[in-house]
Order: sequence, then C-alpha cells, then structure tokens
Amino acid sequence: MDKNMKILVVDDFSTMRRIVRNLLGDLGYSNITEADDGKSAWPMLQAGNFDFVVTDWNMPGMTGIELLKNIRGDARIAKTPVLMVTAEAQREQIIEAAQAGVNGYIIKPFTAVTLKEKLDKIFQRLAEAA
Amino acid sequence: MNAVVAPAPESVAMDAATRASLASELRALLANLESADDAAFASRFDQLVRSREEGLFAHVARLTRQLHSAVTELRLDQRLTDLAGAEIPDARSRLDYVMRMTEQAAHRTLDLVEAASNQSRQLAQLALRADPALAAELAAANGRLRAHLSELAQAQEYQDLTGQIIKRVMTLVQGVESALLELLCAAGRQGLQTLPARPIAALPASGLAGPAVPGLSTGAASQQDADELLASLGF
Repeated sequence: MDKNMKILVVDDFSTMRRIVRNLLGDLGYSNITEADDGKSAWPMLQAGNFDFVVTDWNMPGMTGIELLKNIRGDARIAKTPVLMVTAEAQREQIIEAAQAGVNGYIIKPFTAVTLKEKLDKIFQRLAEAA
Repeated sequence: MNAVVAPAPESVAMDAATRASLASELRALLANLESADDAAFASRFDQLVRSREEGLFAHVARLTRQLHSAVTELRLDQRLTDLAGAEIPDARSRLDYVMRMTEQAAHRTLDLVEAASNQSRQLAQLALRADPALAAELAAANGRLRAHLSELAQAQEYQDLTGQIIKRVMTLVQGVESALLELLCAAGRQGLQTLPARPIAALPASGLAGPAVPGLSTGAASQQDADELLASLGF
C-alpha cells in the first residue's frame, strides 16, 4: 500500500490518538492527521482528500458510528475505508457498524499485530475489489 | 421526582360513596351525550376531569408531606445534605484528578518512548561505522530495543480504557447527586445553596456499554468473537 496515504485518526482521548499514530508510524505510515471527535473530523474529511479513517466509537459531539454513516452518505467521500477502533464490544454494536459499512473492527485494548492484520486485510479487499 | 410522586390515580381505592357519585355523574354525562346537549356535556366532562386532577394533586401533596416527615424523622436531611452538597462533589473532583494524573503520566511515558526511539535510530546510524560482525550484533540489539519501546507505547492504552470507565462512574455519581438534591428540595429542606448544575436528563445517555470490565460485563465480545461475527456477515 502507498505509505504516504493520508490517514485521519479520530479519538477523544489524546493518549489513544498518539498511540495509534505511533503504531501507524511503526508500520511506515507517517501522513497522519488527528481529530478529537466526529464533529471536528467531519469538516476535515470534507476538505482534505483523506485516504483512510481510523475512528473510535464513543465520543462527544459526533460518535464514530455517526461519522461512518455520514461518510457513507456523502457521495464524494463515501468510498473512504473506515477502521473502527473501539472499546464497544457488544455484538449489536459490531453488527451495527458492519451494516453501516465499516471496513474493519478492532476492540480495545488491541495490539500492534491486530492493527497490522486488519489494515492488511482491508487493503487486500480493496485491491481485490478494484 | 416522578418515581415518587406520580402513582396512577387508579391505585387509590374508592369508597362506596365516591363510586356511587361517580356512577351517577357518568350516567348524567351519557344522557347529555345522547340528547346531543353539547354544552352540558362539555361542562360536565370538564368538571369530572377537574375533580380527577384535584384528587391527584391531593395525593401528591400527601406524599410530599410523608416524604418530608420521613426525612425529618429519620434525621436524613443533614446526612443527605452532606452527601449531596459536599461529599459527592469531592469524590467527583478526586476522580477528575485521577483522570488528569493518568493522562499526564501516559503522555510523559509516550514522550520518553519517542525520545528513546530517536536515540535508538541514532545508535543504529553509529553502529554502521562498527566492523560488520559488531554492527550486526548492534542492529539486532537495537531491533529488540525498538520492539520493547513499541510495546511500552502500546501499554499506555490503559489510560483511554480506565478513563472511559471513570467518566462513566462520574456521570453516574453526578446523577445520584442531582437526585439527592432534588429529593432534599422536595422535602422542603431550606438553606441548601448548591442546586444541581445539570439535571439528570441532560447527562449523556449514549446507550453504549463502554469498555468491558472483567467479572462485571456481560456479552462483551473478544477480538476473535468480533472477527468471527464479521466473517459470518461476509467480511
């Protein structure tokens, strides 16, 4: 995958944004922007040609699931891959995210290995679909 | 306060006289309706509804008096005032402090991990100047060091998870505080200055389960469960 792809990391906890940024950095992705909830992420997505979104679910302002639905509902950015990284681990939530069109679902706490696996799988799927 | 003061009026037992009077009123109402005397029907109907409401108000007033005397007799007012006015806000400030401390500590750790990673990169550059055998050994050691640093950064994930749980507990505690203050106000307690800043209804009700807590959470999926579930949905 293009290691220069533009990635948006959305989480209300600055610690988690930093950890995800570091882990993505270890995997070679360094073109990373951060947003602290869906509400601040939304105008950034509208404005800035992001290639990939990593988002938490439970955030003030706009939640990750709302952000996902908004992305899928906006023709210009509807195809942007979205990876959900969340502590929400109920079946209903996972199904809701799947139905809303999420590309991958990681339950916190997670490991670098899980993140790499999910990213690889998402990019493999996208390449097959292309 | 709804749970305390809003019993269905139906739960109040009717005595025989009330029953008879209500039956005769209803018969008169039916007669008005059937004889198309709309004005009389409307007035009689309003009267009925009003008397019904008055009964409810009397019931609410009686419950409030009972609550007041229960609070006074049990000498709960001082205890509740202390709890709602001082102890709970104090507990909330402490939890808030824990949140800030863990966040600072996690960031401090991440700062140091990043500094150490940079040093490790510099060491890798220096190692290139050593003779090949030593350079290979240094590179291997450096690789192990970087793996540990990466795990150290990842371990700071706890701050997000514990922070989310603490936020939930704080919301709950704030709800209890507001409920206690409302109870005290309803019981006629005077002189309590701190009214709830935010009513319970204004607290976020996300409906989400939040981070799983071992031994407490039910129905939480593991990453493997989630993967299997998504696979079954065609992912």
